Amino acid sequence: MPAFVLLTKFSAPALREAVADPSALHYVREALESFEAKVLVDFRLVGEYDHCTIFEAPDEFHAYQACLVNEIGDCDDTRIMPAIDLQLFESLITKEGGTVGPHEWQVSTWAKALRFAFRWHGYSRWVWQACKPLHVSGRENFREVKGPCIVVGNHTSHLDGLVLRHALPQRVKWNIYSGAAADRWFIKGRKELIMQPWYQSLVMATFPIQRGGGSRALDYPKWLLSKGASVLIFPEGTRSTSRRLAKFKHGPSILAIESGVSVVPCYLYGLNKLRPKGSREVTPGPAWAHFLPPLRFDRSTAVPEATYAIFNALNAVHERAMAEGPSAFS
Amino acid sequence: MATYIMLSTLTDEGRKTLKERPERLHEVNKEVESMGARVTGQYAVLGGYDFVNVIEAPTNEVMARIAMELGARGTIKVTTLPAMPVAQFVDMMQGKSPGGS
Repeated sequence: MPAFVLLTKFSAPALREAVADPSALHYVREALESFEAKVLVDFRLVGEYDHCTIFEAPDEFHAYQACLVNEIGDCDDTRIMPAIDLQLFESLITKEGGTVGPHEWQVSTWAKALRFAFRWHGYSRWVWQACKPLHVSGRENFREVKGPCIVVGNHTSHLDGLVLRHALPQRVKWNIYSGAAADRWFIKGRKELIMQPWYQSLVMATFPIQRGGGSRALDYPKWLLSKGASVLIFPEGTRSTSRRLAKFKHGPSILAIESGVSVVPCYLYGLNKLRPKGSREVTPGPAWAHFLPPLRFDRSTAVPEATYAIFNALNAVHERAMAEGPSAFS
Repeated sequence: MATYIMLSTLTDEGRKTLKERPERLHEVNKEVESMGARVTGQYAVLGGYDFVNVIEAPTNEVMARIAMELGARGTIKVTTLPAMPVAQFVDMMQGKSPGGS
């Protein structure tokens, strides 16, 4: 999600209210969170401004909407500043700045053959190093899937995409693609091999997603499905740190209904212990990838209904796994 | 360690330096650390300022020195605001932590 910095100067009545009831100072946080924003950190300041809040919001509309409510309420002055990922900023100010992709050549036969040859370098080596061992079950569910499909998984670790791709049957692995943040993985002019956009498109089979890009983010996955390629999506949108699955986004449902393809859920377990969110360290240990029976939706299915069905399928396994551990599904 | 929000704006010279040597962004962080403070958050922003930095420093004196050293180069203008987490401030106002009435 894009980040924003909000500087606030409170009005005199708001300051009087805060003196009478200091908890009223949490108002800015509550106002932002009521508009789906996530406050990363907030500070009380001494000086030109009274309050500094750094938060993430789904898009600029939500951010400004939240700040508007805030401004009308208790503040003399608010200054909201969209914040840019520093890596992107650094690359933007060089001559090579900007993002590239998607690369449609990634679905051509030569690209698939090279990807197969590079599979150890791309993902398998990381899986072998981290997962001791990796238990894969439910692959037989792909027998019912003819043609392209959408594979969805729960998301708790950076290892999820690598493990899920490694666990897929070769037939699906041969031609499946996943989205990756454009402003991190598809920046021109990066020095490291794995950060090169061509490497991402060719070896990792990813395509760029512009954060906050809305429904346009589905254009390329739709094109992939129309070309007979499968798509891998984590419908929670970001890595979850809670014991519960996060709210699912509607992207997989829209794609499944419009393209008429099956959705194969995959429950990943144990990976958050191997590399939790926020950690760069990998602690080797057991991990599980369990594929569930495919779900199919006809064109008359409502998108929320399809999203609910996908969520329920994964959540049923998740709740059992939380109660009983991996024996619940393996 | 105390927390400070440093709002900084690039001067014309600063823009030129950053365009030619973008790696200066990281070098400045190392210099701040060598003066005894730590950059815990850093954002490039659009609007009235160019960067918002969250810095932890042991004392006002150390922070004042950093602001002076950075400003003296002529590449940025800085506004430094002492900060404390809102939850901590609310506790203090309610008399649950030192500094409260």
